[in-house]
Amino acid sequence: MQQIIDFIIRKKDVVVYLILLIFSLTLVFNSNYFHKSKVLIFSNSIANYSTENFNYLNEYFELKKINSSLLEENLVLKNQLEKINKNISLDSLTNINFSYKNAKVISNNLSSFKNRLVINKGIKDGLKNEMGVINSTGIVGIINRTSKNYSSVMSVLNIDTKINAKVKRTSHFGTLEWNGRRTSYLVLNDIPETANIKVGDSIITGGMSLIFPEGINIGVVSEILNQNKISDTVVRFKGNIDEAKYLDFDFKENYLTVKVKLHTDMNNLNNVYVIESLNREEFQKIKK
Amino acid sequence: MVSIYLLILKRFIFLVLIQGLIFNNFDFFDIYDPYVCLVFIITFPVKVNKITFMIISFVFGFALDLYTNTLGINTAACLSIAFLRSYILNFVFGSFYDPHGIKLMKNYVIESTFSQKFLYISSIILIHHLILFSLETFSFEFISLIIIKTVITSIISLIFCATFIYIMIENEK
Repeated sequence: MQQIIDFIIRKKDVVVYLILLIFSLTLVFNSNYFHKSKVLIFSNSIANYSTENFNYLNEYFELKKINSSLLEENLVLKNQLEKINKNISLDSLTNINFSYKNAKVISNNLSSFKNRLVINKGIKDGLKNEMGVINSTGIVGIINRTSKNYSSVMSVLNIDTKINAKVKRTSHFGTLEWNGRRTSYLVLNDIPETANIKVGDSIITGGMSLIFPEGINIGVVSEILNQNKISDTVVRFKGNIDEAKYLDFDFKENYLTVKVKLHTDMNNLNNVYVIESLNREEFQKIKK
Repeated sequence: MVSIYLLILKRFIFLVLIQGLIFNNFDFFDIYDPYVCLVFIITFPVKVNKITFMIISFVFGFALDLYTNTLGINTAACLSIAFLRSYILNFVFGSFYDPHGIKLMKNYVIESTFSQKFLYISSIILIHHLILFSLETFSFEFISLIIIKTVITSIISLIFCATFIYIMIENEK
């Protein structure tokens, strides 16, 4: 017993280090649980508050850019309104599924593998987890944590984010992910080989979940990465065909991987919109 | 002794704010940020005992985590280099390193050779970034990406940290 105590006293640096390391690793791996604790919510809101106030200063330098982007968006919306006014039907009025709320980006991070944004609205304004966030040009991310005044958004540039998307021309569905490399490109997986995709096709949200409504712009196809056509595959066989029990066809992948260039410029985000789905509870009930 | 803790507190607040508010949004080539906050651990007084040092850097990492909206990854990385620093100092400076801390940081900078300074700062930065990025992704799928990102971010951090330390020394004179 005496020896053990002596050992611990001699190696007290290592013991303290190990205790603190275990504590910090539990923070890493149970972060979803600890984020709900009151101490963290309080200290996090201090950090967000100081960032928000610092950003007021920064905002003045970008007023010109923000103004022009708002003008552009206004133009697009006006054109859409014209179109709707021409062929208005009463049905569409009673069938509103999504409502939008505006918010402002406080902090935006691009340098990590799991990038997050913070926006200046929270539970107080009716935001909840798993609401989609978009911009005037395209998608931005999904809310994954909310506090009273702020919410944290998993941006599309996060290796954990998976978004349901489809090709506008052929309406084939796929899963959109980020590969951690460049901030202006995403990767669209699981598109079947028969889809006949071309470079320049536009990709929109699929509408399979209630996070994003169908038809929000994401980007355009810039490169098709993994294309082995069936007609290109050559089956080579040597020996007696009767002895062979099975033929080993070398069809590696029947799915394409497509590189998508984002419409959204993730480098400068200022005003964003949060999408609230009005019949989400009903949807989740029936999904169970 | 009180004045040392006052100095540490000043550096703590200054570096957390400058990292959280300015350098986290630097975005060189879109995805690389310099980690200037490591100046805090590189220039931490040797005189302070090791357990206090580790606890202070634990809190320091936690404060950085609040600004990046993560939990624990900066904490674990800062804590680990705080633990490893005395071994690195011993390895790099050899007999020149005194664990009791009679020498000041100024002495280390002026009296050591260039390769010693370079090795000391770069090894701390490399270890920190490697721990940080591998804890962040925590999968073997991204291992090549982690190494590339560690090397490039380390070079950027090294330039910034060296400049920062140089300015600090100039002001101390």
